[in-house]
Amino acid sequence: MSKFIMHRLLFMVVTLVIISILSFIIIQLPPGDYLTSYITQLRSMGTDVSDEQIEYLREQYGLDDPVYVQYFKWIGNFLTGDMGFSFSWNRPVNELVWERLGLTLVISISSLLFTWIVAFPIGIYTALRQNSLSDYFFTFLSFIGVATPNFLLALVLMYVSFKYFGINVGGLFSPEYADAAWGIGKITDLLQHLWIPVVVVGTAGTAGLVRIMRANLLDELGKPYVITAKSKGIPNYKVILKYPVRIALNPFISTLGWQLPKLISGSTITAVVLSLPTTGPLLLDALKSQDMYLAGSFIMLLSVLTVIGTFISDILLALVDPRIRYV
Amino acid sequence: MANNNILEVENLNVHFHTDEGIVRALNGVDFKVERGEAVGIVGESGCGKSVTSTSVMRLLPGVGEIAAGTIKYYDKNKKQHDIINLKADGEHMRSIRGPEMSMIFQEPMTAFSPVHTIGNQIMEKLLYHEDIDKDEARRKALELLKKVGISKPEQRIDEYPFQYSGGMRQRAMIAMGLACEPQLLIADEPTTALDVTIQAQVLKLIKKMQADYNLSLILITHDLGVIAHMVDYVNVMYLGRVVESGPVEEIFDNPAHPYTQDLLKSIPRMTGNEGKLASIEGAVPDAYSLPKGCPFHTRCRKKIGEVCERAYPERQEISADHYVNCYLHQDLGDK
Repeated sequence: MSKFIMHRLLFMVVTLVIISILSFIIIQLPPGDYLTSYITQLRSMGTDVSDEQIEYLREQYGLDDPVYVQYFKWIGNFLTGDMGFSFSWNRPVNELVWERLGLTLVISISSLLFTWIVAFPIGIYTALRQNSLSDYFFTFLSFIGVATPNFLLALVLMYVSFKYFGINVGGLFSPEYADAAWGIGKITDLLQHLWIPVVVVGTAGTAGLVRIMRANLLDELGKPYVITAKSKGIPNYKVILKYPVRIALNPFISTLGWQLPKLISGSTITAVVLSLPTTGPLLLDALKSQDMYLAGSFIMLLSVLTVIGTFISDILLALVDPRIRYV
Repeated sequence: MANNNILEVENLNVHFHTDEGIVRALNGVDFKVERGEAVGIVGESGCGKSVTSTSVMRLLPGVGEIAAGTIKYYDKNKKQHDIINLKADGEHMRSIRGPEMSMIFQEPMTAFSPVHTIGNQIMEKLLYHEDIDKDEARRKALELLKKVGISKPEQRIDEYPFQYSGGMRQRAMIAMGLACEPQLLIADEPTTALDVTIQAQVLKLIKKMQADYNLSLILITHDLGVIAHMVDYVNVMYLGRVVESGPVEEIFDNPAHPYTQDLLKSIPRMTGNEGKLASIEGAVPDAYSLPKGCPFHTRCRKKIGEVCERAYPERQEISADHYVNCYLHQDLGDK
């Protein structure tokens, strides 16, 4: 097992180095350097920029160094948490990302939990009652869930809650709490707003997961080891939970790590529609306005999370499936 | 004479409800097993051997329904249990499955869960039925693994099925079958998936366990060679019916049903001088539309005529404990 982990770790480091080089290239891609565009931007706004200032900034960003030195400076800073400067926001990138990360994770993790808590029991139930009326009902429901675009559902929910309950559910806070300090009131306010994005983001995922769980479990239910377990006189529900459900869950446990990048970049369109202060819209803006440090940092961050997520998945897979652990 | 039977199956009818229609898998199966006796059920694929055993264990899949018949089981205290009328997953049936009767399967690789250790799967049965703690269950599981000839059981008990060889898996399966000391062991093609050299070892082991634990055994196989070595009494099945039954020597020496005769002829022999392997003409008829009368008449070399197509022949005792359902052995008079 430790050999297996070492092996994966080594590959992970190599992959990350390659990704960081690619991210750096992306940052460097626009013609001219970003300082030129920054100064142009400042001048167009009427700010006077002296030659010393320009010289100072060039020095600070190391723009006169050879490309590889610039790369090492950038990656060195990145590793210490300094992800550069966003020219369109006029603020350091890490500040921008960190202030949105907390709420992003709250929404992503709640919707992931929502998805799993709703999807697994329904998936198991429909598999056990295959072709019954309730199976058809949930099947119908999940096809609708899969087919409805998230943003549409978001708009509908917003409309309904505004029209019939008089609540404006856009954003994550009511105006009076937006800048307030954290307290019971603010948390209650957050929970009142949170359910809409959680339901919206969770619905499609839930519907898809119900179908996959049902199919996985149906595959397993007919396996001979289920009959063997029943032949031991163990009650049906114990047999089903211990054997086929456990094995049908394996793919989910082992792909848990893949959710990691989605926690940050997932459901961007929904976030835009609901005007949520999450990282998704930030990434979208960065790409639209060619805010290269911000965009590059996001790409790097997402890639790192993807690689780490895959690594976690590999380990989880080995943990849940002994056939992989011992090879 | 007091009833010494452990299992009595009478007129067992099992139907499978499928999308294509009803499959009549069993059409009146009769057989019995005496205490301590080894009984064989033999026949081609699809004749209902496995359906018979899974019906006795009440492990038929959801589409399978016991349409008629009785299955009577007599437990350790000779108390009679009416298996058919028990709930398949009810407490009563489950108290029989395991401590009273247990089953070993054809494919030991898929019959064990791939993600649980062998020890875990054996101990589960012990822990469920017996009032013992984990340490005691583990001790018993180790003892069983040792008993079935698994070397280094202390190490093997924590291993997974894929770390076992085919023969060892079947040994572990037998160990699991013997846990809770059942009286009746049903072995469904226990050696079909194994190498020939391993087959003999596993059969020997089953025979030894039968003697050591004083088990009654139902051995299901299509292999008449296995039957000859292992059992006292044989039931020959064809299309969901027992067409002939008798003591093993009787069946081999004086087979009465044309189907049994053909089966015996199709055993490959090294001594034979004919160059071609004998086989039974034609194919097993479609289970959706069984032939009327004797189901074997479509392939029978000794078909008498119209009488075989009219009604299923009555059971006839032709010598002590040797029964056959065939018009060849009936006084047809002027029918």
